[in-house]
Amino acid sequence: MVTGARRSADDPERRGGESARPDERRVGAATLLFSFLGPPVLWAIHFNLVYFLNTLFCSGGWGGGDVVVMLTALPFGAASAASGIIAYRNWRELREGRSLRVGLVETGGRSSVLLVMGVAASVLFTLLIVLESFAPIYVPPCAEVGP
Amino acid sequence: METGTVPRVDTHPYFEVDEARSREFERVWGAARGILGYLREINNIPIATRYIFASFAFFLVGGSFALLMRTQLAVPQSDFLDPRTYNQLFTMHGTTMMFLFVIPFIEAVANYFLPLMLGTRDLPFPRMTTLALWTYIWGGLFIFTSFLFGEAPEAGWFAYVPLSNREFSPGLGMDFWDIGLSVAEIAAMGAGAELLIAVLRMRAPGQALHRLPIFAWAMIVFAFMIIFAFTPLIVGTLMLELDRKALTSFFVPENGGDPLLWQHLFWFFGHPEVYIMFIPALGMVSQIVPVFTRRPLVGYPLVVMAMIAIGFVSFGLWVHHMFATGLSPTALGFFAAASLLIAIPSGVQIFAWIATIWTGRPVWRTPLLFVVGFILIFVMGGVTGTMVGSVPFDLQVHDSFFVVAHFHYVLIGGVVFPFYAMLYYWMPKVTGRLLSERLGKWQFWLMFVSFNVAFFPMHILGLLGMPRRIYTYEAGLGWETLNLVSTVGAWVFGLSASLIAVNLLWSLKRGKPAGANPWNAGTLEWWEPSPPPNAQFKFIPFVRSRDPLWDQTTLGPLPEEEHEERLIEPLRSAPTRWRGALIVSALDARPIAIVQMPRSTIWPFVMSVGFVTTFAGLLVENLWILGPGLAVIGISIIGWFWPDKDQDAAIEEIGTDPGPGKLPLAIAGPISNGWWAMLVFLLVMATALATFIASYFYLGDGPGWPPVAPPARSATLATFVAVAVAATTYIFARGVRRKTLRARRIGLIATAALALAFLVPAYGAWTELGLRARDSAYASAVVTILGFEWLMAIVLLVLVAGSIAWAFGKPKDPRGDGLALLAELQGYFMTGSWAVVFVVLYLLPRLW
Repeated sequence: MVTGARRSADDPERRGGESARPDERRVGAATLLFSFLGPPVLWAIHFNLVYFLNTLFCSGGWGGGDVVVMLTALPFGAASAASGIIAYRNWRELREGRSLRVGLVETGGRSSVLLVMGVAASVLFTLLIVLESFAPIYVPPCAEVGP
Repeated sequence: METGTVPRVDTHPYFEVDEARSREFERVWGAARGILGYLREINNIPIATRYIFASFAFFLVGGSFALLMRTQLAVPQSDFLDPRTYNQLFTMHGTTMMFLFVIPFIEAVANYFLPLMLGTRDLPFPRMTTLALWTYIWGGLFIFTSFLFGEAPEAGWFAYVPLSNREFSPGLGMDFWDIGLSVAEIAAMGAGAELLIAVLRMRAPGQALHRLPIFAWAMIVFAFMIIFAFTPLIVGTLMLELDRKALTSFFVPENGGDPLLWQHLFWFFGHPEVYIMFIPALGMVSQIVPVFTRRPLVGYPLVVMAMIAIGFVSFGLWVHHMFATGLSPTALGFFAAASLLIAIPSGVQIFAWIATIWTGRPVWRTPLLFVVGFILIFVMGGVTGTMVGSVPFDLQVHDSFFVVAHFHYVLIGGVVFPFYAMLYYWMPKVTGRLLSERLGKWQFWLMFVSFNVAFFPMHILGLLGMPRRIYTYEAGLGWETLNLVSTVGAWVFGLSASLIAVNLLWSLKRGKPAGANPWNAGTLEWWEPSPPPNAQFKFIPFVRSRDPLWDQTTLGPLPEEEHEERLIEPLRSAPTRWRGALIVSALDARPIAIVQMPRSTIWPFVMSVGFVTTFAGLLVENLWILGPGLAVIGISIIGWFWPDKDQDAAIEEIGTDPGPGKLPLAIAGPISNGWWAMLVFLLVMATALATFIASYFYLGDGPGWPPVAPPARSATLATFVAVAVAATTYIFARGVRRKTLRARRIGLIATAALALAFLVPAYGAWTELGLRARDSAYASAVVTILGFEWLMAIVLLVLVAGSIAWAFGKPKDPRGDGLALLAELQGYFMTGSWAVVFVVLYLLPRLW
């Protein structure tokens, strides 16, 4: 089936112990965690925060809620983007340090795969954080009660 | 199909069989016999098979309700059904499909195939799987028995308040719905927790996270979503039932309650629910596509990340079901943005499958046809999804047939078609026989065409203004032809969907033997014979690839895996006196422990009977039914946890201390599955408390809300007691870890005394309020939160009482340590949760 397309992991010429014990450097657990789960968690906090702030400002009848909501994009968007940058840098370092044997059967070890996921997550969730924060540009912040 | 790389008979010396030991191993894992044996059976293969067939039976029943509804709507002014029956049918159609078919079916499939894919011998808690099966069956039948009493629920599967309250839904119909649903949901949550722990801790050595089959990733996301989504629903249905019994006023506006709270709670569950159903289907598709295109999946990391992203974002969409309820425009904007952007991770997966098919060598067998059908239909459902995700468009088509068309494209296209792909793909593994390809292809084309005939016209009907949930309509509105076409399509679809049963029967009689790997697939489930025996993975395989059957020449260890091989030697066609399995580290799948698995037992079945009896007692408010039900539950808990000889044998054979080249037995602390299950339980409890507190804030400032902060004397006393509980918990846990018996005993006794004492001020906090729970929404919220804390103290008491029995009866037994470390988690949780409650109920009102 795929044997023509890909060499066996156990093939001594290809393997060299690689597939059983990937020789790629391990990235620290904290970095991996921040890269992998940071963006979605940041988005979840931000989402609840802007919903809460909007409700608070509207029920209190205070002005400026729209500006506050938009300002939340700065710390959360920056943190989410930063996690993507960290993930990308680590992934690039792993790729540079990897022996040529790696990648024939698996495109990378555990760290590489999680870092790629982290980059993708960062792009998506940063976009979400920014778009949601700027909702007040397009619509009034509070419900308007008709006559 | 071609043959894979791993030969069917692996000649690696690791697989050399000692016949006598092999027979003993098979005997230990063997099926229970006889009628009583049927009820005692707990092995994942037979239990999951029953689960699959039970859920499919519910699917056929739920589907037949849809056909009756479509028959009613075929012509205008039809009197085939009366309005009440029609309401009952659409309520039970939605309820059955959502709660009794899709989720249980996914869990059944996962119960069957996950252990096989992960290279493990069973799920971590086989008794809980069995309990979940029986509880689910009783819960489902419980809801359906409402038809026998002429009391079937009729307020829709969403049970909007006030339609579902006592005033507008008198009788027992909604009580059947509330209670039956809770039973089924608790079963689903138990199964979800089990699947999560299975994927994280019970895998073949080497199957690190980046080598997990996509379906296993899907089940991780699925399980987390179940925990966070189902808990608010259960809390919501509890509130609704309490309101219906006139005990509380959560949704009663004149007492400060708010019907919209129900919608928030329901849709906070309801929208993720769509993705809870959808994500496993994506996982199945991602398993099937590579096999039939003869190449690995394109973009594995991105597909996994897409599933995780969908899991997160799906919790930010619930208000798009409430766009028409008058929320602030900016808030709608947040939810609209999330609703539209969830299309991105969904699209990533679609493109990954298309790229895999495009760059592979497709073999157009029935499973792949269903996958392609799924992609086409789901994309159409996704396009209409982005349309209704936009607020202005949604306001135009809200509650019209357009929405019915949209979600059937998503749910049938996105879930049912992958299920059929999965059935054609995996059924040969279950039965050992191939299904008929010809009949399969006929079924696919009939289903694909008839589905579009049935549901596409509904888009137009919706745009023409036909509302949903109406039992009939006037002639002359331009809806007649489209409705008739839709009904014809629905009948053909219903009949063609049933063809799988015909194919299955044909296959059992005349189907060709499937062999172990009829599709030449790459994942581990195809290594075991078809059908797989109860005693699966006599030899634990070594994994070095995502598709080990494609990429490895052997599933035995390589020379550099000698250490792991030595570690798992006690599991090589063994143990033979008890059931044993491997525990691995979550990230890298390094062997870390051996776990003793339970044998067949009657207690899960007995406990399920206790559950259904208790709930029946609650339904009819009869203590003579409730009491025996609770007694049966109590007895079965004791029977369940009573120490057995297998545990003794495992402790004697393996021991609990790791040594050089030796794995310990997983009994106590983070190494044991029970400890992880306790963590999941606490996660569920934390979510429940968060839901109560969120409801408290939501209802805040309404009529009946006190102008001043509530009296805090008892609550302050309870706080001191709760802090003391944390201190004594620390003492006994330290005693367990340092093997200091005195500290352990004193700490446990003190904790038990304090947990008991906590109940008094916690009750006092209620009496100080001077309000009955039903007097106001405020009182309802406070009393239920205090009740929650009572429950936490009682759980702690039970755990500590058991730990005390071990500490004094068999102080050196590691099982006592295990229970005490569970009590430790509960002790800290009780203190922490009370601290949150104290701040929310007593401090914040004083600071605000």
